[in-house]
Amino acid sequence: MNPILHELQNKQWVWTAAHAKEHSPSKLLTTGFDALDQVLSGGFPRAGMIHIASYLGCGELRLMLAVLQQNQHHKRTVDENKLLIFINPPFELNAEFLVAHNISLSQLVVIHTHSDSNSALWSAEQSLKSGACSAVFMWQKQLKNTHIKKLELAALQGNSYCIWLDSYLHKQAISQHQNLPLSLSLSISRKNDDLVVKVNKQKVGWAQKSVTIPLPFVSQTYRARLKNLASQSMASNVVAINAKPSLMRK
Amino acid sequence: MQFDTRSLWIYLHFPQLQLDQLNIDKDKPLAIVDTKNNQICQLNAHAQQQGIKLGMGLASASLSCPNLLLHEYNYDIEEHAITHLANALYFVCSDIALAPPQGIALRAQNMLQLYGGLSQYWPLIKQCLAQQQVHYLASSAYSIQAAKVLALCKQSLISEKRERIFKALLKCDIAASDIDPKDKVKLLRIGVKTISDLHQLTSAELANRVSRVSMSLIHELFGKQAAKVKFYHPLSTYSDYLELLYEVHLSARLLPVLNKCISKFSDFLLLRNAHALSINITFFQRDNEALTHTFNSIQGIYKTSQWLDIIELQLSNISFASPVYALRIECTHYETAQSSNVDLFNQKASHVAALTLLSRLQSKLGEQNIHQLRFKADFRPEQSTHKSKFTQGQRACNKSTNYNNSDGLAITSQHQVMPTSIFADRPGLLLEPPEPLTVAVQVIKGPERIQTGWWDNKSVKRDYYIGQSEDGQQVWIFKTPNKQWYLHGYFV
Repeated sequence: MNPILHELQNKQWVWTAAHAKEHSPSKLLTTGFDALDQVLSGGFPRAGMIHIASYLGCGELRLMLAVLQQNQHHKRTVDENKLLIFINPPFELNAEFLVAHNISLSQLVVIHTHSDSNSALWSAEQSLKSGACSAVFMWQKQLKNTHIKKLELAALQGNSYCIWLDSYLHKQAISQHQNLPLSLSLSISRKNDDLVVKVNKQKVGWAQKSVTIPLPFVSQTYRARLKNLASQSMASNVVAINAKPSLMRK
Repeated sequence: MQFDTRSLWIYLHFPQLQLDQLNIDKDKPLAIVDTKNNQICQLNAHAQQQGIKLGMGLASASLSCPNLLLHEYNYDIEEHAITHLANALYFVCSDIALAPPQGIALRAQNMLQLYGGLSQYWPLIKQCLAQQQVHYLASSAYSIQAAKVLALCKQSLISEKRERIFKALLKCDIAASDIDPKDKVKLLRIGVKTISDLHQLTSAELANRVSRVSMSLIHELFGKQAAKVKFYHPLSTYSDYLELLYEVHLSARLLPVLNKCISKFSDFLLLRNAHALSINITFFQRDNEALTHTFNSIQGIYKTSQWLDIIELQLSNISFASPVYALRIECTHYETAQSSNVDLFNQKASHVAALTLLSRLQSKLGEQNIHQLRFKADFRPEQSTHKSKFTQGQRACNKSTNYNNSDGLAITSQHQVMPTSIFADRPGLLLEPPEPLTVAVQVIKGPERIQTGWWDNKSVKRDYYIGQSEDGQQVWIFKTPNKQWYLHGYFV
């Protein structure tokens, strides 16, 4: 064999069609959004590390509801008591939000390491490796290549997800995460009423254009709500209060 | 605790306990000197051959044997050794009373039924003591005091027969008993030297002469009264102190000593079916302050070899400023080893139970950094989320009430996703406490008025809105009655 190819294979930088089985759609986890499923050729990978870059509060956790809820309505595992671990959330997690989305709080573990990133990485790796948790959500500013590789392998070993939320509060130069050994890397931004998801990297599949997906009604803007309201009122004989009086006269 | 006078006790006396602790070098004459009166109080066989006797002065001892190795008597070492022996004996005897610095009393009565008699039981204790490599004098009797007197008078009688015990006891000297020294002098004056002399006196005669404490001791000696004793319970944490025979400067030289200490620790863990994640080793240095190093393991382990691997690696980076003369090994946290019940066909064999993971995280990061959330039905966002520490057993009961998270509100598990069916939309992250709003936002939904809590002094009167910033961040903001705006959450 070509020594260069051999070396690349050793580093797992080459994907061969033999691996396609692992990525058959039946084994993927549907994201809950058709457009996104299409781009990801079926859904989120079975396990591994997912990187999400966005401003804080763009709906990044809502996009991951499929991962959060997998214990509830996917009979993925016999053991329903798998843990969800949150490491260093920037603010306090809101139990009301989680309960509203059918996430059982008894599975939830929140870890604070107080800006000690080594402890955060240690706990993430331990949790992923243990196989006792279904997903680890970590808010971390920067990760080194070796750290990502370690976490990715730990996630695959423990058959779990490591969701790396790269959220920033204010405007800053968005660093390019290229050639990182991630399973999936997404960038999220909001355009008008929709969420624009750009796939920076996925392990299997071609580079895709960014897709727009609608988020649940509650996070739509006022204008979109009016539009919805208007379309509803057309069908019924209910008229919006601030409808133009001229229309009424006719 | 008070016990009846029918229990059989075995008293163990360790005449040279501190010397036995220094059992590294046995070929040289060794002696322990009591600095209070400058007399030899313990010595080994080699020293005895050289003509040294107990109670000899320090000067004459060093004259008769120039190469005599001397150690200072230390009460703490003996007391510690007694506890260590009690730990070892705890596996063959349930009721142990300590009599530091040199004695242990074992209540054998209830163990006799288990082992089928004293003739079977005594060899077990002997075997246990042989492993500890200590010199001892032992005797049995129907009270602690009588057994102690017999043991100290070197009667070494291990028997269940009352007559034999009583006969042997009568021959003993009263000097060996715990009677108050003043009373002993008084008794000597009237010619009472042995226990048999004491036995001939009536209690009325005795009561005129000796104190009440001594009186009860005499009653105890003859089995008329029971002693009050406190039984020993092994500690739940591990701590071991070892003084080195020579001062060691090179860390590599410490390894054989550490091997010995760690194997003791490993036995401790094995008996409790436990794994340890970290141990502290303190190195006491001659001229510098003691160094404490923590040795961590990612996986809970108990085996000596595994611990030594970790210690060896870390020890190579440690250099001592001055020689080390003593070590202390401590372990305060250990976890119960969990057997993994993974089925044979599951590929992911490395599954560790969630509890093990939690205890591991707790022991590394500290209990105060690991939380679980609970939901309480309350309209105030600050009151609805409760953070609490994980405690043992709590998760187990949560299992059954998976969806009963709230106090009054039970949420049934439904497989179809019903977001926001009973709840209004709430942000995923909350600021604690809310901060004044500084960024420009456009209100996209609201208001939602929350006015409640007048009953518990945490009243809230706010109008909540959902806002969106230029960057597309959706935030939860509220307005107070004084028209001040606050940022309370992010819709992640």
